[in-house]
Amino acid sequence: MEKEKVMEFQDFSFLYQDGKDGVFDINLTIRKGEFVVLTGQSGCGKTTLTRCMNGLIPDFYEGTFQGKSVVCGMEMGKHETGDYAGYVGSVFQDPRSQFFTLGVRTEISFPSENLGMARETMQQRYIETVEKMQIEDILQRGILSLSSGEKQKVAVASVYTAGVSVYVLDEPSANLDWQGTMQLAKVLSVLKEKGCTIIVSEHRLHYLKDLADRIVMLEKGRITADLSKERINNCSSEWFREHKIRQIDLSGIKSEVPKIGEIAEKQTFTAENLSFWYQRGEVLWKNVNVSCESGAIIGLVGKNGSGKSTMLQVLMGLKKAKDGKIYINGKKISKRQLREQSFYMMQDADYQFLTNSVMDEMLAGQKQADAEQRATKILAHYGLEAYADTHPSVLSGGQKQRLSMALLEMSDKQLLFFDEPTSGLDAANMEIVRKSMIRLAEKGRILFVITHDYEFAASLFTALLVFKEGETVNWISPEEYQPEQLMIIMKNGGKKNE
Amino acid sequence: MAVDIALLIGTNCDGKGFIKNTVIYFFLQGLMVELSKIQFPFFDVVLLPFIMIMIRVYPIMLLLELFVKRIPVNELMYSLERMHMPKSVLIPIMVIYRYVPTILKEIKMIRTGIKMRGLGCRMKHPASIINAANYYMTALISRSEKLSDELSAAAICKGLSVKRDRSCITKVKIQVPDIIVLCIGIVFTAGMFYLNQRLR
Repeated sequence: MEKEKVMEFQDFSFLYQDGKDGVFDINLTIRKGEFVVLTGQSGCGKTTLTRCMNGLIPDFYEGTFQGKSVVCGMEMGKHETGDYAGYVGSVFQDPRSQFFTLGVRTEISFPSENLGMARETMQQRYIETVEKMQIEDILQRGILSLSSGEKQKVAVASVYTAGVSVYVLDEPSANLDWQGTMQLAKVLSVLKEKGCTIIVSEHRLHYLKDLADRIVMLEKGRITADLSKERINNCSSEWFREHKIRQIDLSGIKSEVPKIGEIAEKQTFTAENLSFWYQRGEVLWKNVNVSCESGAIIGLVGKNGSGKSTMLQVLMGLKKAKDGKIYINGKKISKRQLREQSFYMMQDADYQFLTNSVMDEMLAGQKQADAEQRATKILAHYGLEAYADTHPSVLSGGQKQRLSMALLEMSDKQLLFFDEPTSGLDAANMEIVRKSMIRLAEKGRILFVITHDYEFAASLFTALLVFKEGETVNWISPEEYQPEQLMIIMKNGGKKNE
Repeated sequence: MAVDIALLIGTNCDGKGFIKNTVIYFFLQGLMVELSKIQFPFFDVVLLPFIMIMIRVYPIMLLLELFVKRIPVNELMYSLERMHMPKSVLIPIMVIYRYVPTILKEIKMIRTGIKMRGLGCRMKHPASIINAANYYMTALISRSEKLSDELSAAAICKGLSVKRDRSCITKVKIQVPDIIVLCIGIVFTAGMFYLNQRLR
C-alpha cells in the first residue's frame, strides 16, 4: 500500500519578482517517511524549492506561481508562512542567523512557544527532545559559544520539540567540519527511524549516502533526474563528475600530491617554536615548527576549536604568537611586514567586499596606472567580466568565491591564506578554486588552507599541519606527506594512529 | 551616590566584576573631586560634565548589561505580552535584543577583513581614514541586510507571528521572592528620598 502524500507539486512553476530565477514545471510527489535529497549546481533552484516547501514562498519571497503545490494539505497561497510551522520544520544553511534567542534552552522551546503549545505538553516534549538528540551537555550554554555542528543540532532539536513530522533542510552541512557533519547525519538518522519525512537540499552528498531514499537532481530550475537509492549506488564516480555534482562515496576519491612545476625564484618561509595561549593561561598549541618553500600548499586539518584559525591569523600577522619567530628567506620578520605580504580569504566572503561594485572592489587600494586593465583581465579569467558593475552582495555563492579569488590575484601577495574556501560550493566551482590554487602555487606563492572538505583536499596539499587534541601540532613536511593517510587524519580529527 | 553603590552591589554578585567596576566607579569619583579643584578653561567646560555624566551612566549601563545577560528572551516576551504590549512593538524590540551581540561579532570580522586587505586606517594618510570608514559602512550594511533577511525568514518559519498568541515553557508569575524584592526596593527608594530631603 502506498503511503500518504506529504507534498505534491503538479506542473508547478515559480518566478521571483525580479523575473530572473525560479523553478519551472516541477512534478514531484513526496510520501510520508521518505528521505529525499535535492541536488544540483549552484543556482539550480533547489533552495527555491525548499522555500516552497516551508512556506517562505510566496509570502516572504515574493513572485508569481502557476500550477498546484500542496504541502501537508495546505495549498500554496491560501496560508501564511507561520501556518506551515506546525507541520514543516526548517533548518537553514547559516547557523549564525537562524536562532532567535541566545540560549540553547530557550531556543529549543522557541517554535513551540510561538505555536502556543500548552506548557505541560511543551515541557514533556522538551525532555523527550533532549533525550533523543543527546544534547544534555550543551543545555546550559549560550548559542554563540557552540560549535557549528552543535548549532545545527539545536536547530533540528527546536523544530523537533514543536512536533513536526516533515523536515526541510537547506544546505545544513555548508559550515560544518567532519565531526559536525557526522553529528548531523546521526540526528537525521534518528529522525528517519521515527518515520519523519526529510528533504535535504545539499551539495555535499557523502554523509547522506546511507540515509537517502531518493536523489532529485535539478538544473536551471527544472528537475532533470529522480533517482532511487539502487540507481545511485550503481553510479560510478565518473557519472557524478559528468553531472557536475559532488561525490557520494568518498572512498572512491584518489588522493594525491598535485604536480607543481619548477619555480625559478624560491623563497623560504620558516616558523620556529610558535606557541599561543590565552590570557587565562590556557595553552592552545605550543612549539610549532613550519618550514617550506615557494609552491607549497599546506593544509591545516583538525577538529573545530583546535586552534587552526588562530594559527592562520598568527602566520599572516594578524595576531601575535606568545612565543616563537617567523622568518622569510632567513630574515626575521615583524607582524606588520608579514601582513603586507599576506592575503586572507575569509570563510564568509561578505566581510571582505567593501565597495558598491565588482570593479571598485578590484581597484580598491590599487595605485598603478594599469590597474584597471589588469582587473578586467583577471575578472575575465574568472568569468565575471559581465558583472563589473554589479553590487558584490547580489552575486551567488560561487560567484562571490570567484570574486575573492580574483581579488587575491589582483593583490599579488606572496603568502595566501584560505579559511574554508569551499563551504557551500558546488562541484564545478570547487574545481575552479582548486585549479586556481595550484596555478598560484606554480607562480611561486605559498598557500595555507584550512578545510574540512575531503573531496577538495584530496588532491591539493603538498604538506600538512595536523592539529591534535591537546596542545600538539604536527608538521608533516612535503617529504613526509603521504596523501593516502589524509582521509584517516581528517576523519579522526587529527588523531593519527587509530 | 548611595543608589549607585546599591546598583554596583546588585549588578555584580559574582565578585570579580564587582571589584573591577567598583574601582572604576570610585576612580571616576576621585577624578572628579581632584579635577574640580583645578581651574582650567577646557576642563571646566568639557571634561568635568563629561565625567559627571559617566558617573551617572555607568551603574545604569551595568544594570542594562545584567538585564540583557540574565533574562531569557522567551520569558520576557511572554511577560510583556501578558501586560498587553502590542506584538508589533514587541517583535522589533526582541529582534534588537537579539541583534546586539551578533552585530558586535560582525564588526570584529569586518575589521579583520579590511585590515588584511591593507585598506585599514594609517595615521600617515588622512584620506585612508575616510576611505576605511566608507568601506566599513558598506560591508556592515550589506552584511546586516543579509543577516536580517535570514533571521526574519527563520523567525517566520518557526511560527513567530503577530496574530498568534505565544505560550511559555516556564511558568512566569509574580511569586513571593519577587514581592519581597519589590518591597525592599520600595523601602530603599523611600529611605533615599527621605534622606535626600533631610540633608538638603
